[in-house]
Amino acid sequence: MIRKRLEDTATAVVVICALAVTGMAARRQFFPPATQINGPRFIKDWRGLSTSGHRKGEANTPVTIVEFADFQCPSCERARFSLDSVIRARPSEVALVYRHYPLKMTHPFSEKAANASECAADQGRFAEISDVMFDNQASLGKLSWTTLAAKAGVADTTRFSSCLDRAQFASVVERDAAAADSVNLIGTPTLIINGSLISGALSARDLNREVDAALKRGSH
Amino acid sequence: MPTRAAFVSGAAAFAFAAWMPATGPSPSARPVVEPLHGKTLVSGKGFALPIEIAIVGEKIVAVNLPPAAPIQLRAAADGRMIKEIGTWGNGEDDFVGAYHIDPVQDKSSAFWAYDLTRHRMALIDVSDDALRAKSQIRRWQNIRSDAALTAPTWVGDSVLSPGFFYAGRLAVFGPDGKFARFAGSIPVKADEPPAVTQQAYQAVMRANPSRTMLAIGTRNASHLDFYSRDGQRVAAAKVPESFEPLYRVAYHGGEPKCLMDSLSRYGYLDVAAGKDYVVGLFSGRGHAEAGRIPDGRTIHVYNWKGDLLKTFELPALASAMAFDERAGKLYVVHPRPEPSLAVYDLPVVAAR
Repeated sequence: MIRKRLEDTATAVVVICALAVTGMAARRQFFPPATQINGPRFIKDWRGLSTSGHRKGEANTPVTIVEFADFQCPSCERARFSLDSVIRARPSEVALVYRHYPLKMTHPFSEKAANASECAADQGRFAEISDVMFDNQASLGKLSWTTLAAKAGVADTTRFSSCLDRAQFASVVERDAAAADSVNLIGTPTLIINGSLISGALSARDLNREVDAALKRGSH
Repeated sequence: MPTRAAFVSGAAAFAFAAWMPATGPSPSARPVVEPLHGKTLVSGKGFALPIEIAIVGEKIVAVNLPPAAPIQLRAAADGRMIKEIGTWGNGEDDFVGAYHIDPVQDKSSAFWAYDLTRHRMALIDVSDDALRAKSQIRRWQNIRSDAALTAPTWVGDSVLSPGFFYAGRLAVFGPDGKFARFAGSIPVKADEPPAVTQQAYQAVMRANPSRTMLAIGTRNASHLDFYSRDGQRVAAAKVPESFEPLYRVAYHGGEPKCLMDSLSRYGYLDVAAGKDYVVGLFSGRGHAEAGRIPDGRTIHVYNWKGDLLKTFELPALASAMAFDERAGKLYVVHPRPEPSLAVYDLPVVAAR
């Protein structure tokens, strides 16, 4: 118990990179289950969070998942598969809005990666570079950003490099991080499913369940 | 008429004052381990095993795990419970993972309590008036950290803390809780993920009363470093033993993780920083030997230049401690055979 246990908890923070998930897991493991103190939160103004970011899926779906993620976060890398499968399976019901939340103190290249993705987005290749970033997660900071951009099919890599050097879209990344801060996010990935905030990567099955719950709740 | 406690306390203060030379402490030529003698203030059912304790004025603040209250306030004189503060939960004023206490500079009636899980600090007022009120929490300060912090401490209008980030010894946050920069350093190991090195070199930290210096003890190594308020290392304690963490890198869910070797030893489990002295609770015990609750029984007393002045031995293993420099008293948490809080007088240094 005592400090050792909490430090184990803290160690786990680094391990799974989602602080909120860690807190909940630690509590389940060590604390009595009498009180649920870290359950799902509801974000009243969630619609405002979905108006910026990169949308994947159809417009006007009854369920919107706002994902705050970090390209260097392994849990985010895993989360994308279940997100993709649910959006593909339920195209008329669910759409995803990707927003940046680079964990700058934990992942040294997360902010640069977020900026690079915005530079690729400027050339219409956000979805592609997002996949390339996650596919090459272990090499971020080792491979050149231009190489990653080329892999993502960014046509004008000179323009891409210039964009990244000038941090042309830093304000976009900062705006996303500020949005995350505004709802007191403490880790990635964080999913806000029609307002219901869930920390950590979900399996496709759990994600489908959450989407069903959101549909049942109706739009708020 | 002075009470017995007041007399004992006065005598201890006198003895401690005699220990402190007017020109400041100097190193002992030949350190000798001396036993410490003290008394148990509270034990058993009435005392939860705290994560950490701190001195705030005439009171001892303990931070706990559930089901005990997040914070307990006790009288330093006799260990009597004064107030249980805070509630567990997910509400606005609730704690999820109370972890660290940071007394407010120059105030004997307020401290910050850090919630490790929610990344925020509560300013808690324990003045007599406040203790009569319904809540003692005056405000919350969010700390915008995406890494776990182990000892957030206010230094001027910044918060400094060691933690599990990827670079430096300390993370520095502005008055609004926003991350500003990293400062200091830990050993850099080629081809090792920095997050793993940070976990291996995890630290405890305390600021001196004037907040000009920080004492940082490494939990898995024999390091005690002294940092200036701007985050620069200015001295290292001359620790009588020398060992580094023993660990290996493992990957869990893609993230690098530090797996401590069972042969790794605990170093400084807790530190206290006074005006002239730094006191460290040193273990030296192996992880396998110490078991689930890291503990130690050695008390090192240093000056701020890093000279070891005295080495004491507690009569029982301890997991946390706090030092009242003014009164010359050391408050210690003993986890076994049942959790207890004891107080010890630090005797006069014989050779100085």
